[in-house]
Amino acid sequence: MSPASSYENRKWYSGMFIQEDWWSVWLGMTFVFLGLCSIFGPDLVGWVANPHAWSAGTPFEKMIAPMGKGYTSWGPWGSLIASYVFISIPVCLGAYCMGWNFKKFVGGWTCIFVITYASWIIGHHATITATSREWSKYGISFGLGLGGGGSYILALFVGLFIGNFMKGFAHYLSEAAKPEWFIKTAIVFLGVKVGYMAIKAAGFVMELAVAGAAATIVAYLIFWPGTYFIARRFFHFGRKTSAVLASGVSICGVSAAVATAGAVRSKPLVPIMVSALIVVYAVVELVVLPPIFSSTMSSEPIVAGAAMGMSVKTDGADGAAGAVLDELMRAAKLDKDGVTYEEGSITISAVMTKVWIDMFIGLWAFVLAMVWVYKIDKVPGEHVPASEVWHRFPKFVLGYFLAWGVYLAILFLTPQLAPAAKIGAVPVEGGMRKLFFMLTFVSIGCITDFKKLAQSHFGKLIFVYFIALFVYIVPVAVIVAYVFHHGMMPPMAG
Amino acid sequence: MLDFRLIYDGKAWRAMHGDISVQGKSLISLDKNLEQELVNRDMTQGLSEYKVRMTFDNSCMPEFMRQYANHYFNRVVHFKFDNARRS
Repeated sequence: MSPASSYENRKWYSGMFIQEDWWSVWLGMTFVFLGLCSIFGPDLVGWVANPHAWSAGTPFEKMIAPMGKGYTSWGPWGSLIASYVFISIPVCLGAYCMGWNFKKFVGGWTCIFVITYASWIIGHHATITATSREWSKYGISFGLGLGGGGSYILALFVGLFIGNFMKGFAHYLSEAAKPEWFIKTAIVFLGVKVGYMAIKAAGFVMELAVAGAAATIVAYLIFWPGTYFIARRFFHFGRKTSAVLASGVSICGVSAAVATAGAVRSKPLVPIMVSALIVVYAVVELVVLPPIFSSTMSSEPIVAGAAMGMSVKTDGADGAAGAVLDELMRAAKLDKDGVTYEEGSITISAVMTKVWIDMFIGLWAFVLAMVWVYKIDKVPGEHVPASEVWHRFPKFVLGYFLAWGVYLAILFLTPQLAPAAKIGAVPVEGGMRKLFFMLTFVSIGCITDFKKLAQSHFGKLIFVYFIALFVYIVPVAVIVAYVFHHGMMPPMAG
Repeated sequence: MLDFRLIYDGKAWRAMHGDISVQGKSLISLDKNLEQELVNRDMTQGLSEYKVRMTFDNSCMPEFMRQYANHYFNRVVHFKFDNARRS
C-alpha cells in the first residue's frame, strides 16, 4: 500500500505527514517562521527572486532581483538559484513523505519551476504590465495595463498549451503539477499579509472576515437547495447524484462533492464524474470571470473579490482568479486615478469567502450524513462518527490563521518590533506567495485537458453544471457579495 | 471493536480485516453479509453487541482527485444480537 493512502485516516492525527493538506501547513509555516527570524536580526528569506517590470534595454539585474536588501549582492542568478534550492528542499521532502515517485517529482518540479520563473519574467514586460500613466517611463506607446495579472494569465496559457498540445511532457510533469498544494501553501503565506495589513486597516480585515462568514452561510443556504432543485426538477437526477452535484457546483468544488458523496454514502463513481467536470469548469471560470468582474464592478473591488470566492470552484482556481482580479483592478484603478489599492487586498477578499466555505464543508457534510443515514437511507445499526468533521476540515486553514495570528500578535503586542518583522514578512507574503500563485497557474494548465470533456460520457451533467453555475450561482454570488460587502474599500497602497 | 478497510471495487463494496473479506452491492447488504460472517466465525458468541468501524481507503479514488480531498467517509456499525441474530 502506498504510504500516502488515506486508509490511515483513522485517528485524529492521521495523515499529518502523508497528506498534501497538512504539507501545505508544514511548507508554509517553515518559511513563515524563517521570516519571523528577522525580529532577532537575520533575514533568512530575502533571497527569494522577484521580477520587476522591464522593457527593451533593461539589464537583467533590474528585471529580477532578490527581495531582501541584504541579498542585493547575490544578483539575479544568485537569487534564482537560491530560490530553487531553498524552496526545493522542503517541497521535495514533502513529496518524499507523501510517497510520490521521487525521481519523477524532482524532474517535474524542476521543469515547472523553470517554466514558472520564465513566464513570470516575460509576463513583466512593460507592454503587458504598464498602464498608460507608465508608458513614458518604459519608453513604450502601447500597453495592456494588466499589472502583475499578465504573468498569471501567461503562466496559465503556457500550462494549458502544455496540457493540451504537449501531452507527453504534461504527463511527465503531472507528478509535480499539484495546484491544490501550491495554492494552499500560498494561502498560508497570505495569512502573513492579512496579519500585518491589520496594522493599517484593522477594521477592514475584521469586517472582511465577519462579512465573509455571513455571506458564506447565506450563500450555502441559497446555492445548495437551488442547485439541488434544478438537478432534480429539470434534469431528473437521483437524490444522491443531485446532492453531490449541488455541493460540487454550489459550495466548493471537488472537496465538497467528495465530502457530500461520502456523507450520502454514494458509490465513488458519482463524485469522480462530478469532480472531473468541476476541475475543467474551474479553469473556464478562472479565464472568464476576472476580466468580467473587474470591468463591471470597478467601483466595488471587495464585492468583486468576495463574489469570486463564492463563484469559482476549487481553491486553486479561486486563489488564482482572485490574484488576477487583484492585479486587473489595481492596474485599472492606477490607470484611472493615479493611485491604487494595497496589493493583495482584493485577493484576500476572494480567499476569505473560500476559506469559510472550506471550513463549513466538514460541518455541512456531517449534518448531511446524519440526515441521510438516520432519516433517508435509515441504515440499521450505522452511526456517523463525529470525527468525520475533523477528517474533512481543511488543515491548510490552520496554517493561514496561525500565520495571521502570529503576525497580528507580534505587531499589536510589541509594535516596536514591527519594522524588523516586516523585513522577514515581505519576502514571504510578497515574493513566495506570488511564486506559489504562479506555480499554481502553470500546474492547473498542465493538468487540464479540455479534450477529456468531449471524450467522457458526462451527458446532461455538463449542461446542468453549466446552467447551475453561470445562470444561478454566479449571479446569486454577486448579489450576496454585494449585500454583505458593498461600500467596503480596500486600503490604499503606500 | 474491529477495524475494517472499506473499498468500492467498481461493482461492490468490500470490507476487509485480516482474513475476513466481505462484499455487498449496497452498504446495507454489506452489513448483513458481514454480520453473518461474524456469526459464522463464532466471533459474536456470548455478545449482545458487536461494533465495527469501516475506514474508506482513499487509494481507490483516482489520483487526480486526491489533492482536492483526502477523505471519503468512515462509518461505525453496531450489530446487536439476540440469540446470535441481529435485532
